[in-house]
Amino acid sequence: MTLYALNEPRVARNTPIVRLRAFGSIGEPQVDVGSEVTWDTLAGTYASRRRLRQVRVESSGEGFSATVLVQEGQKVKRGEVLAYYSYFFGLGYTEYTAPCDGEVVALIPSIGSIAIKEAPVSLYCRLPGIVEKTDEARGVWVRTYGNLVKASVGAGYGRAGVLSMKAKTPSDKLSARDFTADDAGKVIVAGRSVSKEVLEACLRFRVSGIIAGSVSRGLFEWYSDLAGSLDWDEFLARYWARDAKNRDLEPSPSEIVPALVVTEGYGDSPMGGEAFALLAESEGNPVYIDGGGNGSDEPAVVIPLNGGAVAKEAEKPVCRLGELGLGDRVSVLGLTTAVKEGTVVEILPELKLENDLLLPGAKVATETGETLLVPVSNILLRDRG
Amino acid sequence: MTKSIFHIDVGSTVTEARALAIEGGRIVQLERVSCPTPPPASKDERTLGLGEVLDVIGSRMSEDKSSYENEGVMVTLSAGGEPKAVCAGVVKGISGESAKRAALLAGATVTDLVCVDDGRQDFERISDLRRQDVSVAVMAGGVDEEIMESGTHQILNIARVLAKGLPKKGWSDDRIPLVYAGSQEAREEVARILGDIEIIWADNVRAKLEEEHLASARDAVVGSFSQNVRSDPKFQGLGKLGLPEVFPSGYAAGLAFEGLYEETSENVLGLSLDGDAVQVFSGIKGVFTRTVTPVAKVNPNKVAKWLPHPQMAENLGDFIGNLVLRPHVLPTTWNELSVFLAVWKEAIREGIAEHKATAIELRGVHRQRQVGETFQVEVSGGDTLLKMPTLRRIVVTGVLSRVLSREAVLSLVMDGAQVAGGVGVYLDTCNALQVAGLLPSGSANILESLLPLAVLVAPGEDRDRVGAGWASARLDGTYEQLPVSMGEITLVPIVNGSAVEITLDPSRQEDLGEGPGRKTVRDLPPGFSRIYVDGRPRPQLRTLERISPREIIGWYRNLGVFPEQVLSGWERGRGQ
Repeated sequence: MTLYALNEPRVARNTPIVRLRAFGSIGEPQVDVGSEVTWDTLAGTYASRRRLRQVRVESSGEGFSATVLVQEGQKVKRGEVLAYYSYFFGLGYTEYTAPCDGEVVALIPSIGSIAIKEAPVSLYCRLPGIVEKTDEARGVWVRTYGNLVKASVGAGYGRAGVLSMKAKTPSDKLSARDFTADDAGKVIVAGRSVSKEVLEACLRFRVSGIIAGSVSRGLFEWYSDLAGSLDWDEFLARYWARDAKNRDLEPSPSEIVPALVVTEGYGDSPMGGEAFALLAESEGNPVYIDGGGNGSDEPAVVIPLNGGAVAKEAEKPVCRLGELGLGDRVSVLGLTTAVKEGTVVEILPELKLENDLLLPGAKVATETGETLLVPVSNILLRDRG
Repeated sequence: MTKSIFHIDVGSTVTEARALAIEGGRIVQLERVSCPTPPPASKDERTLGLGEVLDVIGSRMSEDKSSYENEGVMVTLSAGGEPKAVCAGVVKGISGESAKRAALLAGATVTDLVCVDDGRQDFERISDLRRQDVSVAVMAGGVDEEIMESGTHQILNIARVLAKGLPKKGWSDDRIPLVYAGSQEAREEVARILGDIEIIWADNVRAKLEEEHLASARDAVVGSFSQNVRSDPKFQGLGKLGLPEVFPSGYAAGLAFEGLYEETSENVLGLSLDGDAVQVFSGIKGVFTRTVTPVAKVNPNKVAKWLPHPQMAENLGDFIGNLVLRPHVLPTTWNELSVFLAVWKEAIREGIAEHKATAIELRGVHRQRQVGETFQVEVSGGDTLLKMPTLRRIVVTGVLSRVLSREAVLSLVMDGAQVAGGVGVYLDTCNALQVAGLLPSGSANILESLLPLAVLVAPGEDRDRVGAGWASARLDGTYEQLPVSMGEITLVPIVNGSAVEITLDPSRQEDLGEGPGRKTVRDLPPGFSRIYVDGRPRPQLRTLERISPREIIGWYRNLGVFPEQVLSGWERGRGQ
C-alpha cells in the first residue's frame, strides 16, 4: 500500500528565498521592482492604524482653558509641548505634549481636543536582495538567497542582527542573567525554551531577536499581545528608562520589540538538531529574523549568502509530498511530546495504535534507540532513504 | 457493468480520492486513497497529491474492480478555507447577515463583514479590506423599491468603500470579483461607483425585509469560485489534470443536507469535523444554514472541564496550540485521546453556539409581540431557529468521524451538541454527502447512504425532570419503559436493528417539540442498533459547572469510549 507524507524540511540551504516586508497598514513603497536593496534600504513608509491622535486639554466647554501653543497645519515632534495649563495662582502646572510626530489637523476648543495626524513611519528592508514586487496594501517583497530556518510560531516583526549562540546545545535553557547590554541589536539563539524573565531581559537590553525551540502558549500569547501593542513611550516606561530623555532615539513601531521565533512548537521541547547546527555554523553573521507580525510570512530566520544574489549552486526546491519508504528519515510529531527524529523501518498499512485507533502508519526507529508506532498523519518526511 | 464515480476532496488537512458506486440508490465506497494536503501557511501548491491519489485509485479500480465502469470525476475543495469571502451590507443585523449567510451556504469562509454599523471608520474598512487574502466579495443592502428617491443611500457609501478597498487577486493585478445581491434600484449607481471591478449580478437577498432569498447569491459565489480556482497558483493541479468543474466542499455538503431535508421533511443538523474547524449545517423549517468555527477559538478553561483527570489540564494550552499548528496530527495514547476529545467537544459546543446565532429568524421584520412576551428579552427579533428538541437527526461527517471510534464520535455529539428530546445519529462513512449533493436530484437516496449509529434520548433544555416513565419505546413490537437514570447515560440495545418508536413524556413546562408538557413521539427507521438514554441534567452540561472528573469518567464508562483499565487508572489519580 502506498503511503504519502508531507516532505517538509525544516531547514533549507543555498536556496532562493522571498520574504514580504509587511506594512502595518496601507503605505507607500519607496523602492522599485527589480531594484537592489541592502540591510538598511528604506523599503517604504506607512501610517499607523491609529492615524489620528487626540490630545485632550483643559477646556471650559466654550473654549480652551489651557494655553495652546500650536496651530492647525503645524508640524510637531513627539514630546513637543502642545499646550500648558497653569492653575491655583501658578502653583499648579500641567504640560500637554505630542504623543507622536505629525501634523496638527484640528483644534476643537469646545471639547478641548488637539488632533494630530501621525507622520508615516519608515520600514527598512533588513535583508539584502532584489525587490520582486510591491503593493501599497501589503508591503515589499524582497528576493534573497541563503539559508533558511523555518519556524512553527513567531511573534514580533522583521528585524536584523548579528547571530549569537548563547545556548551551547539545543537543550540548553537560558536565564535572564545570561543577557547583558552587549547583546543589544543581536539575534540570540536561546536553545530549548524561553521564560518570561528571558523575554523581558531581551526587551530591556534591546535585543533584535530570539530563536528558541519552544515556548509555553500562555507566555507566547502574552508576548504576541505585547509585540502588537507596545509603543515607544510605554516601552521606555517599562523597560528602558535610561533613554527616556533621548527624543531622537525612537525606532519605527516594528523595531521596538525583539522578534521571537520558535522552531518546534508550544511546550518545552529542545530545538531541532538540524536547525541548531545550521544556526551554529552562521554564528557572527548578520541574519534576518521575522516573527511573522503584520501578516508578513511564516516566521523564519534567513541567513543571506552571496549578498542576497542567487548563486549557481542553488539547490532546487523539494517536492512537498513524498511516498513513504523504508530507510526514509522522518520527523515524528506529537501533541504532547517533543518532535522526534528517526528512520522508517516498517510500513504498516493498518496500524493499531495504543489508543485503539486503526490507521495507516509506520514503525520508526528514533536516534535514541526507541521504536515508535506512528500514524502517517504524524510523520513529516525529511530525507529519502 | 455497474457505474462508478471518482470523488476527489481536497480538504484542509487531507486530500482523499474515493471510488463510489450507486447501488439501489445507496452510495457505497469501493476504494479510498488519501494523502496529506500541504498546510495553508506554505506558499506551495495545495493540490500536490491530486495526481498521486488519482493514479493509485485508478490502478486499484482497474485491478480489483474491473466490473465497474467509471462514469466521471467530481472534485470538491475546502483546503485553506477556500473560497474565502468578504461580505458587505448596510446594517449588520439585516443585509450584512444575509450576505454572510449566502457566502457561507456557498461553502465559503467569511473573513470580514463591512457594514455602516461595524464600528470602524472608512479608512479602517478600506485598509482592512485591502489586506485580506480573499477570492470573492458579496454585497447586499436595501430592498428593491423606493430606496433611491433621495438619490443617496448607505448602500452607495458601502459601494464606495468596496471600490477603494477590494483587494487584488493573489495571482494577478485584477481585483477580486464582487457578487452584488442588493437593491435592484441601486444597481446602476453601484456599477458606476465600482468602475472596472467585475460584478456578478444576483437577485436581492432581501428584496423585502420580510423575506430572504439566498440561492441566487450562493450560486453566484460558487460560479465565481469554480471559474477562478483553476487560475489560482495554489490549485494548479486542478487545471493540469484537466479535472472537471470544482465545487466548494461546504456547498456540496450543504446541498446534500437540503436534499435530506426534502427527502424526509424533518429538521436535520450536520456536524463536519475536519482537522482545523467544525462546520455546522442545519435544515430547519426549510431554512438552510452553514457556519464554520475554527478549533483555535476554543477556551482552554472550558476544555479543562471535559478532562477525566485534572493533571491533564497542566499543559492544555500547549496541547491546543500544537493541535491548531498541526491539525493533521492525531493522538497516539489514551491520555492524548482524552484531551483531544475534550478539545473537540468544546469546539462543537462553540460551533453550535455560533450556529444558533447565525440560523435565526429574520431581523428587521415588524413583529407583534404577545403580552406574555413582555419581559422576555430574547424574543425581540433574531430568535434562533436551532432548538434542539425540534431536531430529528444529526449527521456526523468529516475526516475525524472516520478516524475516531463510533463510541468516541457519539461522545462528541452527546457532549458537544447536547441534544434534547429524541434524535437519530448517523455517520457519513464514505463522504457520501458531498457526492450526493452534486448528483442530480433523486439519483441517490441520501439517508440510505448514511450509517445509523445510535438513537439519543435526552431531557429538555431547562426544566425537564427525568425519572421512571419519562421515556418509553416500542422495540420489536412491544412497549417498554426505557431505564432512565439521573446523571447517567444508559445503553438500551435494539435487537435486529428494527424500527423504533420512542415516546417522551416531558415535565409540565418542558417543550420537546409538541408543546409544553405534551407527549412527544419519535419514529425512527430500522437500522439503529442501540439507544442511549441520557439522564444528565442539561443546565449542568450547558454551564459546565459542578462537573467533576469522576462524572466525566462515569460517562465515558457508560459509552465505552475508553477501556476499563484506563478509566480506573484515571480514577486512582494516575495518567496512562
